Amino acid sequence: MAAQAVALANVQTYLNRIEQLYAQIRDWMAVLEPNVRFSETVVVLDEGATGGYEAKSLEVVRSGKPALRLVPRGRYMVGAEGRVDVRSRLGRETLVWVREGGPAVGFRFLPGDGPVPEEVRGQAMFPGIAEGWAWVDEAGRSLRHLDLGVFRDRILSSLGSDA
Amino acid sequence: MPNPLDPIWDAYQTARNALKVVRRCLIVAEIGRAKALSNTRFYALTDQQCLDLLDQAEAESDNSVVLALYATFEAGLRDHAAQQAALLHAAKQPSPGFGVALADTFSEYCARSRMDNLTDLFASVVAQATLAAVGNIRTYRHWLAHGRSGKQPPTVAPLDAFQTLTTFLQDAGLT
Repeated sequence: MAAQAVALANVQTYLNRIEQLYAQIRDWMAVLEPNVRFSETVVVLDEGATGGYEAKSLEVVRSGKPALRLVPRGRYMVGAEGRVDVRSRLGRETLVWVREGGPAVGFRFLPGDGPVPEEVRGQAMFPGIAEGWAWVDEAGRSLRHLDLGVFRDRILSSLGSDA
Repeated sequence: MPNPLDPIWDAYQTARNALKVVRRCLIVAEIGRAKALSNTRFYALTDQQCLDLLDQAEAESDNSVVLALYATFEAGLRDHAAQQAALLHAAKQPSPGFGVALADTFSEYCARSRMDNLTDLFASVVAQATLAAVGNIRTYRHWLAHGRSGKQPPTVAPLDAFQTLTTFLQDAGLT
């Protein structure tokens, strides 16, 4: 039961971090493109560790440019504490929430805890990365802390312009 | 020693970029759609049909690269274990021929068996969290390869698979 309570708390933390991410992106977009419109829809996630739960996706409708959709992908993943994908007609970019340094994150399944794993954190996999949401820079094989510059120059330029 | 995972990662990046180029051919007005897409499966499809195909291909590509990275990682561990056969030549009791025979037997065993769970052999040099994460990648690989039946295990993004498996190989002195 204790393990299940930890899993539910982890999900709630993940949902709170998603809310913070969406609030930040609303603020940035309102500055970059004042005519932008937002809407939210509910998606259902079903992770083995947690069972089913609801999360929100955020749609960003832009004037004359491809819309963006931020889609939660789940709390339990190797190497991070949650993932949100950013999608448009031009492709997909990935955001993950990591602690400082992006420590290795693995899971152990202990007897009696059923499908709920114990989280194990280790050495920094991405030294220098700050705690919070980070953009997965696949070409650079690294993470980049999500700030306005990364959002504008990496994510919007990849998914949100016409080329 | 080069990282055996590098060629897989590079090919994955090329595939991702190629998918992005096709999307641009559909969406960017200045690109001549018909010419760009001629002699491909996209030519006769609507834009939305093409985008759906590309989304599917992207998702499959993300899963396939995790499978390929893990298979190559596993082969590296297996090869390293098999190379230790020569050390068995030192077994001289009851005769020098025993060590040679033992080495041959071990080599044959390595060639025949799957040896698909060797990570714990490296527990003395690889951190616990990395060992656990590699075990999770293995579980996720099995879940994907066996039709995604049963509860979904913790998921694995491509870069996390690459980074975690590379860290293991580095700690084990195999790259």
